[in-house]
Amino acid sequence: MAQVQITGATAEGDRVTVAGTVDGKEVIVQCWKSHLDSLANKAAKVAYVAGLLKDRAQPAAPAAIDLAATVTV
Amino acid sequence: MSAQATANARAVILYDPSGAPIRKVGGGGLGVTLVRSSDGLEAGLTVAGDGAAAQSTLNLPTLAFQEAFVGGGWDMVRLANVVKNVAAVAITAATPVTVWTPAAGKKWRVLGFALSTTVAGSIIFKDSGTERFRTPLLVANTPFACPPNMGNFLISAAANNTLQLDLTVTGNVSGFIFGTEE
Repeated sequence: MAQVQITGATAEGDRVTVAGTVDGKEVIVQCWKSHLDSLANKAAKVAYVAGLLKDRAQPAAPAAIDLAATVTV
Repeated sequence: MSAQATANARAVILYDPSGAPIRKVGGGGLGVTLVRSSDGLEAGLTVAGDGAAAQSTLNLPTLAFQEAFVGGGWDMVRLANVVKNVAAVAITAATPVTVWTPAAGKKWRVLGFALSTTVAGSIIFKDSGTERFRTPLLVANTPFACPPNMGNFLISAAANNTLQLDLTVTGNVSGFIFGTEE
């Protein structure tokens, strides 16, 4: 499980820039203030932003494609 | 380098593909060269060994973003990657129909469209119920394409808002809308 820490956030209009670290690696993401405002409480806002940071730092690995075969050409 | 250029110089931190800062170690030299050529901007990373006898040049991956002036600043140029098909959608006048629901936390951005309506009148684009713009009065069953060079055009007012179509006269709308979710 990744260790995510939010270190700062700034807003410019509706655009929010969030800085943080994921397992010690610095990451910056952006989201919408209007979406954060729609979330029920601070815990939900933090969870949403932490998810963005984690996704940015650790993008899902692409699915492996098995091309192992013996061919005669 | 001129004195003015030196005064304006800024420190640059380089990162390797894993995100770790590239830093000079030992007594070797480390330099970055940017060259403008007919092919664009080329970048090279030069690493010199101690005594500068051994020297190697590595390719330096670079990222660049196209930006355009938007009156009060600069904005990244968008490229459409979302297309919403509008297949004979029946719309009652003044009763908007949702045609684009962005993913949670996202906004839609319309970059262009081509639409027609079965009855003469205007097609109205609404942002979760609020009119943002409308087409000219259209002739029935006659395609209307968004003018070119609309740039980044129009983004929704708030995250999670839907894009709706409405008509001034009840009819069916066909065509497509394209843009981005961001």
